[in-house]
Amino acid sequence: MLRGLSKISAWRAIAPQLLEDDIESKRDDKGDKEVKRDDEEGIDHEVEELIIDAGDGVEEAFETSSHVLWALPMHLFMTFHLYLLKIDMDTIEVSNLNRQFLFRQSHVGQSKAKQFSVVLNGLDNLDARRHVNRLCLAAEVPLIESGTTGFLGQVTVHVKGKTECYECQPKPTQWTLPQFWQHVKMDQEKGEDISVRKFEVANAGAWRRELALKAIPVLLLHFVHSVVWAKDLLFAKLFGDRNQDNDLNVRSSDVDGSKTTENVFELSPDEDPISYGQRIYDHVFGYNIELALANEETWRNRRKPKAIHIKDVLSEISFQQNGALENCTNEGTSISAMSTLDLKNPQDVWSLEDNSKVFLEALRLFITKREKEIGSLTFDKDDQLAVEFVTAAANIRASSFGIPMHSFFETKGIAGNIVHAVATTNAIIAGLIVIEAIKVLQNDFRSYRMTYCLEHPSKKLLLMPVEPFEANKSCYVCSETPLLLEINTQTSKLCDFVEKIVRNKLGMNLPLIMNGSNLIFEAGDDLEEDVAANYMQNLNKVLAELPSPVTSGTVLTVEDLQQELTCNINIKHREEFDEEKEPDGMVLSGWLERAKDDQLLSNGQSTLLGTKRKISEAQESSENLARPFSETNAANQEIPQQIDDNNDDDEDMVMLDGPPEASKKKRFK
Amino acid sequence: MVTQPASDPGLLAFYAAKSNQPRRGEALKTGIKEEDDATLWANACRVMDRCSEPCRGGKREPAGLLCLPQSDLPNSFLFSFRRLRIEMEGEELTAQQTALYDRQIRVWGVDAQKRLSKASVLVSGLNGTVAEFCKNIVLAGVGSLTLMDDRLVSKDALHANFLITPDDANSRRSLAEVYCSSLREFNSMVHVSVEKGNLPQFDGSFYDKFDVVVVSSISLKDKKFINQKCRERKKRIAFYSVECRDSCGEIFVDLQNYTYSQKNSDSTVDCHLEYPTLEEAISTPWRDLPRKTTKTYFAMRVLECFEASENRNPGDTSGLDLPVVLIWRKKLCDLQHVNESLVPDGLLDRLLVAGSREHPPVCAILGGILGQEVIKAISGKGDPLKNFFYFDAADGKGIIEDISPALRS
Repeated sequence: MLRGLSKISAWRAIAPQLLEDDIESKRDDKGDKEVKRDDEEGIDHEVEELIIDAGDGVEEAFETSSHVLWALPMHLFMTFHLYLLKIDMDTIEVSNLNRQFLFRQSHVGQSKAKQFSVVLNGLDNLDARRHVNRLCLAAEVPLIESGTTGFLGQVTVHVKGKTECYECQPKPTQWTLPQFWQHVKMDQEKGEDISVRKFEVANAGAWRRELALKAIPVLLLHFVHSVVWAKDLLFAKLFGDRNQDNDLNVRSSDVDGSKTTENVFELSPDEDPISYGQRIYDHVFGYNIELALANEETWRNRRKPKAIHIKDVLSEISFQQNGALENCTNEGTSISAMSTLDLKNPQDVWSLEDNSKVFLEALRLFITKREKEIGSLTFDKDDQLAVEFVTAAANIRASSFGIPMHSFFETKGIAGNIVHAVATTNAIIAGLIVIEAIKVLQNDFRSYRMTYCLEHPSKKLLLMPVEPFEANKSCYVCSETPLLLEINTQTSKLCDFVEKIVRNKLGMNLPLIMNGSNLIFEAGDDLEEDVAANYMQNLNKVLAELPSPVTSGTVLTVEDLQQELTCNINIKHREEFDEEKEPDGMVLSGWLERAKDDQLLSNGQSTLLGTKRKISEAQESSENLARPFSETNAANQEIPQQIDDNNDDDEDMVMLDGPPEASKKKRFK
Repeated sequence: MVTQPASDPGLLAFYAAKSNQPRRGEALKTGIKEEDDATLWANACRVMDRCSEPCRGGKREPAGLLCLPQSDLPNSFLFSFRRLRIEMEGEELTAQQTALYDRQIRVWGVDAQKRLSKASVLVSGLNGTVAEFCKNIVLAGVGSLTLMDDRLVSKDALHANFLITPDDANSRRSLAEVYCSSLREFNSMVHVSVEKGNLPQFDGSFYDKFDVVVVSSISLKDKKFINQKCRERKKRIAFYSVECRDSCGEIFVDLQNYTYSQKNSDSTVDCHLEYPTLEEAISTPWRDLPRKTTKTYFAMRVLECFEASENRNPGDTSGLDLPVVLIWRKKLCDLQHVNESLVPDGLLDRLLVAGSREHPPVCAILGGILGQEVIKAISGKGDPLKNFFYFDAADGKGIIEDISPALRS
């Protein structure tokens, strides 16, 4: 985090020799993308690198890359073209990473030319990582992947034909919010607690987020549910797009009948904001809870929440005070309920009374000061008032459920998926990236290492190098092994297949689906109208009823041209699916060598739901031992076991004490 | 005259800072007069407030004391005022601090951040690794950082050092001065300053200003001496030394008697560690050390003996020195009753050829680890390493070695 520095002065500080006269003149700003280039022509070794870089906040992302930047050129004794792609967004979207970054624009028919010698990734989400992995595989450009959270970090090397690709080991699937609530509902019906793990998977905007969550004590994880409710349901309902299908209904599924009270959220023209706020308050924290309590079956085995009404929390006098605040609201950009209520320290945990005041005041400020935005607001962690509202709402709900309340600061971290970050870890990881980059550029593939930066040493090691794994032969991304899909072809529609398998599981963004030589679906904006209409029709058809029917034995070919990825899927018809274990109503397999791992990791959402494994048990899985700090377990300090190498003298490698399968795949050719 | 209550910590800090003003003349010249307290107080507060104005729209202006030339108050006074004010008001972080340190507070907590903002660090001997370290603790928000190295900036220093620009290389300024001006830009809330002179020549009371002393690029003799000085003071001063030779690095830590809290799943346990001094640590007989002790440890000891015997500066070596160094290796190994194979020729050769050259990514790694350790020691949170750390890019391992005479038993 190069605080207090403008971009250019940061460059000056970090990479002095990159800032010879020509660099600034060649700097070229294109919208939100900034491409910097250092050119020194006519040198023997020309190396080009790409740093794709967009973390949580630009400055932070800049940190790691800037380290890389100054370290690289100084040591390579070669000049090179260096492209730093920096995208000014909180989360990088796959759409920003189009193939142009990795492929030179070439004439049609001409074979693709690779543009970069190595790609150094500092991305913040799984989708983008997967996407870049595929681009790199297609262009045969080595990829150095990295990530940090708190004191933990890792650097891995992925070179086609030499090591496994980033996706050879399946990553946990990310759930969408509706999926998550669906599972919560199912759990609640069974009278079980919301599974912590499930939530993590559901809420993970990025794998790092998942790690961050795990560092939080269990109680707080329950508070997390409250925050999600406040942010994604209540906030969205009140201030977001009203036309959009809102999940408050889903939330209220344990509160039968709230659908009929839909118009409760409408502000009538003659209503003053404070009474509106009180009405909302009583509805969501009082009425809804009472409704829920009415269903005694639900609460047989658990603690009942208590309904909270505004009159019980704030006395009449307080109401008046609250109303009187109308006059002393500050103007300008920093509208804040905390400042009108004189709650200064963001680290303090407010009382229920304070939370209620903040709730009403924030709602009032939105209505009176930011009226125009209502209906189009989305939650933003940098929106002070929005975080205040969410903090208050989450705390009131937490209080109702007997969960400890949390400070504004903590809530902001949870609601904003703020990744823990420290400069020291970034520096270490940047150093490790450069060391691997140098090996890659020298094609010294025998020395490639995956390195894990640990918080607590394991067998004296704080930085633990591990020899890269060889490619997973069943990896659908880097090998051509077909996948097997069990699905009910009589009831499942093509759109289910596209959404649940092609997009969610295979991570394709612009898929094209073929049955033999028949094109049955294609994504894209530039389709002819009639073709697009045809695809739309297909999407709503059951698989077996498509123009070229998909039944048992059919082989579907799914392609993403941008990712240059093609995948064959053998279809196998199956009538019944376990609603709990296989909520998708379809099971994709063939991607992993070992079935037991498949249970835990490959099929994230279906298996996590079914197998009620505790985290501690999950840690014992061989997969975790073989993949220290894989995205699923870093924050648990899960570390690989070293084999005690008795002939220590020449043994530089860390040996993994995994199951035989794991050891077998350790060495690469 | 000043309407603030007399017990106001800000005001107390103000008077304390004023009485600290070293030269009355300077103070008067710039407007600090007895009868002018109210104006002065108002001015000082105005400057301070401007320093801690929250950033707008998330973009941070390079604001800070040093960037406020409008103020006609002496900087030394303002620094002193601010530091004292933070000390006296102490308990809460400012809004600006909370905003700036948000991400790291989420890692180590508010208490640790408060302790950091009150800590003073001294660094003597500046090189690429130390530059990395300084950057890390300045970003982390340490209270003050004092730099010592009177050597002039040379073109060689550019090699592995991002704090020096090509312009600086010809500036005839000292390393400490150049580092200081670069580091100030990283975080205006940290007081970065230069101390001229040679650390071993300062008397013991000088050390009292600091909580942490970090040395690099100095001889073993000086390291031991400074380590001892830190030990002799009443307050506990953490001592660190760091060396980087190309792709190999060594960190030594002496935290004396150190107690810290270790966080388990839900309880916090107090842990206690006893550190040996550098002299004590390296006097541990080699035969008593575990067989797997990293070879770099032994190689560095051989090099120290060699450099001391030839009266060389640290890192002033080349591959040509190998034959003489091999003689030293034999002497030492015989003395320690170990086989010479404990210190491989290849490793010695690598270290000799490297000399004082640093491999930039290794600087980043060592500086990162050292920064982390210093932050742990200041905050009292997290397991500190005891007492040597080694990194070698050749095998990629970052190893902790506990080398203490107590192991003898």
